[in-house]
Amino acid sequence: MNKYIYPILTLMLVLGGCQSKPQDEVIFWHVMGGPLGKTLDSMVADFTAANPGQKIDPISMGSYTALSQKLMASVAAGNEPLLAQSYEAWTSQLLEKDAVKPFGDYIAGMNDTNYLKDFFPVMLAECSRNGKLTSLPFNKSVPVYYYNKDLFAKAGLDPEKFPDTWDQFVETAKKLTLDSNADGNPEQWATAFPVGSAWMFQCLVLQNGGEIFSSDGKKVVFDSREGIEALQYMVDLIYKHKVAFLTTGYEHQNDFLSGRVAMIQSSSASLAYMAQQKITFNLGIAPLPMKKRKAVVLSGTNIIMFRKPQNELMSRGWELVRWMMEPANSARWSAETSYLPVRRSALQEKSLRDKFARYPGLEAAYGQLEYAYPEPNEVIWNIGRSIMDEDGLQPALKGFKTPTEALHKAARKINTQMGS
Amino acid sequence: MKRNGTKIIVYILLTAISLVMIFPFCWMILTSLKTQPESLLIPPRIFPEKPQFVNYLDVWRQIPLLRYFLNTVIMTVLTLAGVLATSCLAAFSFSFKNFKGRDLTFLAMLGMMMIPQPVYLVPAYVILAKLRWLDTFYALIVPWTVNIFSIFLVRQHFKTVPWSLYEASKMDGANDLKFIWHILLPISKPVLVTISLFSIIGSWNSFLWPLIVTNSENMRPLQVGLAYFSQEQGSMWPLLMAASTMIILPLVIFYIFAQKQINQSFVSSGLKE
Repeated sequence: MNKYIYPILTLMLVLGGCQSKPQDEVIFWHVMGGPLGKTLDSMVADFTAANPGQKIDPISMGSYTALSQKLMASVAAGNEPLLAQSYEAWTSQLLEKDAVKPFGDYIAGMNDTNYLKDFFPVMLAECSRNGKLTSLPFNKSVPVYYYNKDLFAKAGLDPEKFPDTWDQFVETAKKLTLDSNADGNPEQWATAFPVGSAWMFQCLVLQNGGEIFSSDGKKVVFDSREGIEALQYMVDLIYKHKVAFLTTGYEHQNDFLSGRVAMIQSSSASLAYMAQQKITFNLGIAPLPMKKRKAVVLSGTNIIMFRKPQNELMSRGWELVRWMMEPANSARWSAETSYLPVRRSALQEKSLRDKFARYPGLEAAYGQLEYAYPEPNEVIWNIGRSIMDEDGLQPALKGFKTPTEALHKAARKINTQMGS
Repeated sequence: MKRNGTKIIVYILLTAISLVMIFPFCWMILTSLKTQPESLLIPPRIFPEKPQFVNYLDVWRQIPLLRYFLNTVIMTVLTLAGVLATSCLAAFSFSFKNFKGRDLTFLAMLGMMMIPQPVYLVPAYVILAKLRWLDTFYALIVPWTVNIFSIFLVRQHFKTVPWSLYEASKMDGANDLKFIWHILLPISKPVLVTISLFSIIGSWNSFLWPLIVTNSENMRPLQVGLAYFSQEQGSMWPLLMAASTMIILPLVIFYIFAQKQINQSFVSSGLKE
């Protein structure tokens, strides 16, 4: 046995020799895998080419779970990166540790009062606390409806007209659900959504005039009458009207692509995935239907910058972020990844005009940004969102509990944890 | 005749069970040869219209599979060596040595199994950062070289080994290490194989931990490579399955070669009192 010990020890020493790097480069922790990561890398390369002397190191963290745990751990260990993608609820937690350098400081230093006017107000609202801009928008998306225009035409519906209201949606859905042999097992479904549909539910609550958090942010109120009606609407689509079925993960996208489902609600960013497939039908894209008001919830992460002892490093980080948000670059980011541009003027850039021409309806879907709401940024939302999903939505969607019962239970659980 | 009848039933049952076990494998390989739209068809098409061997090439082109593979192998082998060494030595102390507070220590260790990962993740990260081990193989290997569950399993087995065996070898002048190496381990093969399998599977599948403790692309293991094909908004099934096939292949080959030993070690049970 002894003869193996020395080779092993030597090997470990050699392997351990591959050691860390100096802290003079801009390190950016992100979660952009696959083609998205390629786009990010190539944009960073363009930035470095235009700004010689800048050293940028984008590092993929592979998953949002890994990134969030790593961010919290790295702050405790004192080896955090300079820039990172972050959901606002994470940012709130990092702000409590005073780990974040607000971008507002740099924008104030620009002496250009018009700089932020071009940005979508909802994105700035999401990135701000008490009027101060902490983060800046990065990979944003809004929900949209994707629909199969061919199936609309076959059902005698106008393929250019997607339903505007919940009621119209139900009527349309009934026509799109086909069960020719009447065995109660339709061969074509109007729609489908995953069991974990927190995002969809939040949009419905807001469309119905409700809110997720009370205005002071001290408790959740998604179990209001408006919230219960919103969940009832989802439950009715499945059990009463029998036009929808439950799936998991992103399966509904595959069912849609295979032509088994006529319309699905999904992220505007899903277009990147769909565009990689051979779509065999005419693809329609439309804004979500409304009830009492038009509303959607903005999703995706923002960029944050960590406080560093060297001011010079931080201003270099700001240079990169600012460059990414220039109209042409924001448009390119959007055109290649299908995330949203962060400012209005980007919509007029050629790369996005071309994309809008290729996907009719996409521009109208992006128009939802004008009335979109930010995702809640309360620290409790880190766990509250999954409590709402697991205790509130899932039992009702699976038919175990009534929406009233389930939502009250979930809201009570979250409010207890918030201590109110 | 009656015996033949039972045999036939047994064989039918076994065949059915093997089919169930083998189906996901076949499905993985079949999917890896399909085009993306083909993989999403409902009702599913079992055989690809035209096998897309190019998928395997695409995987090679898109991720540094060899580097990932090497990292995983290094991680798996060294972790396994560590687990075997620590489990046997610790289990030996907990079963053959009498010292003050032995059972309390053992209980305390078992209690540590109850602590969920998120609780110790941040402190573990801080320790690794202080040791300057982040982004090195140390971080990937050392924290996993002690496995409480393995210690427990081995100790339970050692407890069944008769004390007289220990005394007899002492009489013959063997020290503790010699006793472990020449007497204890040879009769403990089944449990050693069991903990080895757990350790190998654990290292081979680890995903979150490597992501958290490494930064550079060339320190990442295979599972991270798989995640490349599973994007935020949907998965590239054929590429994912092609990559999975290649990742599983070494384990399957290893099993085919080690099959005899593994099966044997489960069958042969050592000497008992």
